[in-house]
Amino acid sequence: MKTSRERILKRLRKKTDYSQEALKNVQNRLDNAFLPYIKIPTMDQTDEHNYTQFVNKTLLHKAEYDFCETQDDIPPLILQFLKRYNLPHSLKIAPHVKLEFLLTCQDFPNVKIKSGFAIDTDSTSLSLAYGAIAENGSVMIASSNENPASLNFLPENHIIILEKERIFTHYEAIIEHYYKNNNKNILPRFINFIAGPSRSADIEQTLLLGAHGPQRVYIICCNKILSRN
Amino acid sequence: MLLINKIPKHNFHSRAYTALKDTHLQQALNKTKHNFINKRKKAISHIPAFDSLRDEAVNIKNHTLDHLGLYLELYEENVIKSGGHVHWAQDSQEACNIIHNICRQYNAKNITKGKSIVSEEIELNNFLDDKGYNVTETDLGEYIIQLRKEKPSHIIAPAVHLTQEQIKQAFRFHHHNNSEAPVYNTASDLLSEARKVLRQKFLHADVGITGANFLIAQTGSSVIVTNEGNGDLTQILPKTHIVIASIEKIVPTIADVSLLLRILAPSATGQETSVYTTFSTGVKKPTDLEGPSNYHVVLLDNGRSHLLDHPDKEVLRCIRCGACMNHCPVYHAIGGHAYNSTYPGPIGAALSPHLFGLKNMYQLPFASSFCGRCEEVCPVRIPLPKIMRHARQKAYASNLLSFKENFLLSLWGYIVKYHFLYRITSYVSIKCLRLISRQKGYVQWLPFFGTYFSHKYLVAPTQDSFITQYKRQQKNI
Amino acid sequence: MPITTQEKRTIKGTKKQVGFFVTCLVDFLRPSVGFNCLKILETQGFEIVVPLTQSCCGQPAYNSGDKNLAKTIALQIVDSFNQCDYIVVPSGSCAAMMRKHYTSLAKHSSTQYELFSAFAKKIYEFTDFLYHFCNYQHPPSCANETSVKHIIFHDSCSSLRELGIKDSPRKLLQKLPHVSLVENSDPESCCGFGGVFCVKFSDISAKMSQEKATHILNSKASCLTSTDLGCLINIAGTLRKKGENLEIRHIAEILANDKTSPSI
Repeated sequence: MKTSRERILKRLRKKTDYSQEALKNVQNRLDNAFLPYIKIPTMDQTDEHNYTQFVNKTLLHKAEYDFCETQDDIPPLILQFLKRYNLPHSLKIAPHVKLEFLLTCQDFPNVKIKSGFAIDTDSTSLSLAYGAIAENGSVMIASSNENPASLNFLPENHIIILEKERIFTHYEAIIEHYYKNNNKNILPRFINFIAGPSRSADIEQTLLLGAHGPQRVYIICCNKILSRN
Repeated sequence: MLLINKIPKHNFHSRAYTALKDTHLQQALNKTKHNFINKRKKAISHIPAFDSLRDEAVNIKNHTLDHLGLYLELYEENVIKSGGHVHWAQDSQEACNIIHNICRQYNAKNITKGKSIVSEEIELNNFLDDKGYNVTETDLGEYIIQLRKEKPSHIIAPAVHLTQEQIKQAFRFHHHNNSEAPVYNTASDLLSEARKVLRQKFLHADVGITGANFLIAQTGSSVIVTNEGNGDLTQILPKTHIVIASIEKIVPTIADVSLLLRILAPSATGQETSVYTTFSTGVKKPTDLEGPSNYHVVLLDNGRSHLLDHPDKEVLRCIRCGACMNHCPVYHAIGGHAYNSTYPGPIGAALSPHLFGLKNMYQLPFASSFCGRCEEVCPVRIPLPKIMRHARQKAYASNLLSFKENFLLSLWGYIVKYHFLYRITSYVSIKCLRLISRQKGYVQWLPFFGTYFSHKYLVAPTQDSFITQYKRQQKNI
Repeated sequence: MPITTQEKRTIKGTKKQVGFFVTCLVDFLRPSVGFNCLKILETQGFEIVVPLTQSCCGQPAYNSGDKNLAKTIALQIVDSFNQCDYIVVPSGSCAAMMRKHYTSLAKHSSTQYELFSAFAKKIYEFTDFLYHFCNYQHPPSCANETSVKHIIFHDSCSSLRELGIKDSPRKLLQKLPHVSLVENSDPESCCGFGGVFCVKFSDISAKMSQEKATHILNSKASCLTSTDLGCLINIAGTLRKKGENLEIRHIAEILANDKTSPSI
């Protein structure tokens, strides 16, 4: 007896193109897999312009945003954020090599910092963005042993550290960058593009923040983070 | 329970009538319709190249459908490469059984679900309930209607037919046993309660089921686009992630999915981008601290492959944004449940006869004034009125129209075909109508007009027909 | 649809034959609309022809699913207007049927298909023709008008979306010295007419018409007009039942400043 797979594919072989020409078309498509079909406005803009555009858009998505020059400025910003919303002084941070400086940082009086994936009781998490996209103001976080995806969704407050040089112009560019620099051309289990805090409009179309994911998203953009390795 | 559920499933007229009389529904619809239209309008006004994006989207979809076999095979290969499994289902029953078998294989009991309209199409929840699983919808809208034992009335806003009051009642009943009736001051209170309840479901789920907005052949990834984050919690926390998606969700590459993402959210919710766009690929990596160890994709055909060489093939371009129903005056009048299909509104009227049989669904394509607004806003330019007209032609040819309709149509056709007969009929009926309108200028009753006259008068003729008068003038010259 | 300059050139300067397709609603319910159209067109130096063998464009059959009947009717119409260079139609809906849909009644590239597509190119909605091909001047009687007429123009879905006509009727109305145009808050929504739809689904249609009527009444206009009599009789039927006596006229009556014919 034929399997359903065989039956469906048999129909598809009959009704869709399997010619040599078709194989060529498909290969051509794959060869140009990261080439946008139309010019994205950000492609022609200067880096500085794109940076401003990213910031403006991410603010429109209702994320909070700050910029700092060096990684030493990050801890005080985090502290201010926790105080601003009267949040418990505890942080679950991504076990990323570039975030290790936070674990040994002296600027966190009375803040309990742990690294690892998120659990239900974590109130605030912190992760490192792979980058961000200027075209729509979202931040990309790629999951790995250094960046567990649960940090992006479980806690009510999510702090994202972004390096300024990692602002890309558009979707295709950032994914291509990942594709070429990591994991031998296999995508991570999760690529999360995040545009502000979680929300729902399912009750009479009223926009409410903090549906199942974070109620607050705080992006700290830093000029450069020096990894100690 | 909604009144509408008591009406025979395929009696569209009665369902529509009941919907029009449902005050809660009308209240909810009145609140939302302008919202939908204005939000989309505002969003696309910020995207200068929107029409070029739409043209490219059409090209992408057409190319993909023309090469669907090749792309599906490539997709399957890449899912397997990243540690996942692909299952092929010809119909709903088979898809449900596949999912049941996967759940059984991992001894699952608790299942969380992200919003998936394909899972509604195959009626997965009922099936899994019957098999004894504990299934929870986690999208707020889907959760509300699951509590109320209803089906979604819209493909992206499943609870759009409900008022806040009805949602409060559902929560009081299900979360508080109706007794210690809590006070919900705002919609926010309802949301936080749902968040608390559903958080526990996420944490204890064995299997998470999501749909997919897109499947990328190049990488073997499934993509979901959401605002709440429930879809992500559904696939991050459990050991097993099952994706149920129909075969036309395939896109070739990253460039293709990127372009479609640029038109999806503006068309759907009027956002520039949704809050969460997630690409999921395979199982968790060996070094990952979390994520699913098992990844299964169920590809559903359910009649779609038959459409690939059909004149209505264009309907498969649909990216399920809901813009057509958001702009449809008929949908605005009756809501989604009256359609008795997973897919309401114009896309439902075009697609449902193909998926669920013309005999059951033939009334939907007739319930349109052909105002064309759906086609105007469709991001992938599906000629919805044309496809609905095809269904009407098929319904007529299959003798599905009532005796009365067929009789009147042939009578009218006979008269129109013979122009002298047309003149006589028009002469006589003008005389009659002028007589019964008694110079008031309108008629208040006529046979074959059904309930027309309970809402409107009919303008009556006031003089002889144009042709009669014109002939007279020509003679006099 | 946009009219090319090429098309314009072929018409200017020569006495072209313009066929007038009355439409069944005008023929049956408001002949004055037809006569006003002729009156305006005659001032433009065309030879006007009104074939007496014309009946309906076939849309009711087409939209009810009877393609064969629609085709039979369409062939009759094409035959009736055989000699005309242009065919002007005081309705966007009928014009769209003839211009956009007749070709779908025949097999692609068959003889009949070629016949229909040649015919389609000659079809123009009345105001679109008037605006692009003619030099319409307001009738002298307008100068005697003492009060401003606040007119709301209703876009018929066929004119707006099938033929892309939005500006022509408005620009023509603006040429009338005594007319001030009022826009309603939801100009692009359907009035609920839809031909057979308003009888077959009268309850749904009524909801749509009520909404339209409310928008129109809220606009505070003193007169409603449109390119399509179908929409107007539908809205009129709704308003009259509510006891509203807003003046309602086809745009041809307004452009000819005809005040003797009764309001719809």
